[in-house]
Amino acid sequence: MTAALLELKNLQLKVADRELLNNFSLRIEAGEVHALMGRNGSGKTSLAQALMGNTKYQVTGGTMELAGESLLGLAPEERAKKGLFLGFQYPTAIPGVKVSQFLRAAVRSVRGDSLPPKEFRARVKKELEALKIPDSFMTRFLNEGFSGGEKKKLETLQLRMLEPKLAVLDETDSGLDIDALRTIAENIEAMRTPQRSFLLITHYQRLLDYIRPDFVHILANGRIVKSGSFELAKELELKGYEAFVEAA
Amino acid sequence: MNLKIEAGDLSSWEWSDRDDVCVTFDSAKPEVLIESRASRQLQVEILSDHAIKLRVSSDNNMRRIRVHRFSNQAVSFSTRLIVELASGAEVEIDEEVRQTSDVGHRAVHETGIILGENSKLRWVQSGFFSSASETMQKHRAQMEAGSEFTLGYFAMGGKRNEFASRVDLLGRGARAKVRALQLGQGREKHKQTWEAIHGVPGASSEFQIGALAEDVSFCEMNGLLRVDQGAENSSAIMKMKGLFRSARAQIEGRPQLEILNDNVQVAHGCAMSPIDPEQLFYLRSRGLSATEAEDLIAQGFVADYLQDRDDEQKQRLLKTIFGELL
Repeated sequence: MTAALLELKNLQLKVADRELLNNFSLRIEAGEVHALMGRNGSGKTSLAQALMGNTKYQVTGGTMELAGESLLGLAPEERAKKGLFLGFQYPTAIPGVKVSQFLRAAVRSVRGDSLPPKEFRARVKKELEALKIPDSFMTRFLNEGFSGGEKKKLETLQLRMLEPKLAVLDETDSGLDIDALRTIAENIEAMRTPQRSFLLITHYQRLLDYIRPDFVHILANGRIVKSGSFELAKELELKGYEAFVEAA
Repeated sequence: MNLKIEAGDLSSWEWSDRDDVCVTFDSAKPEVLIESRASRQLQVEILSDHAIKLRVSSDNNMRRIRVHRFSNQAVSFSTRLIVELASGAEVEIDEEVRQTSDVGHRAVHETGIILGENSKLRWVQSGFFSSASETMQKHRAQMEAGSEFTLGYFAMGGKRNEFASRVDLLGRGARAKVRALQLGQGREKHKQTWEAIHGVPGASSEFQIGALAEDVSFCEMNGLLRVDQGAENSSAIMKMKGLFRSARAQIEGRPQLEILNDNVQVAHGCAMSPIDPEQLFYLRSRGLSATEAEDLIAQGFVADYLQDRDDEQKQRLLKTIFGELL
């Protein structure tokens, strides 16, 4: 059996002394799109942060593998270089660092190549147009004074420039107006390939209307309580989380 | 003595198209060296060997004056520069203060600035000091009505480096804006003191003061905004920010207010922090190593204080501080 792109087995996750995930398992094959849905505080963001290697979250048991290689013990930058990308729910601002400078450093670090400046600019310009972002965006300081929508567009711009194997997108749809949601979703959808996988973390069905997932999972009490197809997201929208949490 | 500046020997300096005059105080030279690209109506009064007064008038199209204060000898060195802008005059000053002696050395540099009505002065200063040097700089600016003064100050190095500035806003509508940063490394001690005195109605001052401390260095920031009784409708703000790159580095910030009029807008604040772990994690998630991420955050912190410099000046300074940029 070939290794899954992402395989989490019996994962135990804690922050401080609070248990967040208990025997959490998930398998994502190459080319699949999974949606992880759950109430506020159910542990979705904690899982995303732990996957990327945020040491605030401690993995106290279980395994976490990307393409057959353990991620445990790897620094965030090593995980990024192995093809993992996290689209942050709340990307942090870094005053004084221009978007252009940051983006160039990130592309060079993750992909290991150094596009000549002219080609890099041409590629960025194309992506900016696709995301309907003005050129002036590149000279602004990273996320400083950005609206919620601008932050999510910048996360999507990075996703497109870094071309990861697995993208974990943490509430990419939050804080977006209808037009921005469509633009971002279309740009993500356009990245689907048989090799690239996505884990979409969301509360709502609306993002999934644009990016149709192969599997939908409901997270409650630190584990997946139900998995299914896109139909599960529709059912969830009608019934709410409570029905699934009580049944578990 | 008043001198008219004539074109001089330009071979030893790299002039940019914007530079008109270069003033050099060099501890190895007996007197101030003044060079000019072309004949200008700038007036220079020699006060003593290393003390001069420059007068800029409104009709001389002066663009930029470069000032260098260099010393590389184990002697005490004092300089004094007075710059007077006539009403309506505009000029930019790009100053570099450098002490390269590797044995005990002390320098005192004094600067006086007189801004006539509706004059504009943009002054950027970069200071680089060797580990054995001690430097004291005293700045004093007097601003008449409608004048504008922008000062960008940056300094790094030195056993002890002190900068004390006082800005007197003497005329209605005068506007002062300061961005200042000291960078401490090793066992260095840095101190900056900023005072703005609002003596008349309707003037404004804005100070953004910062310190970046590494290793076991110590940086001290002091500030005072004073608004006198008759200075209603004044606007004044002073923000201090410190960033630690080591657990043993120290930064102290003391912004103070003395407000004697109720009808004013005045604010002050002070924030100190180590490198934010969330910022670090964000950059590392994009493939940067911990060291690269820290460097980039520190570069950003510094760059925020260099906004009054043009891109070329900013890049040159950042490369001097951090080496090859990410």
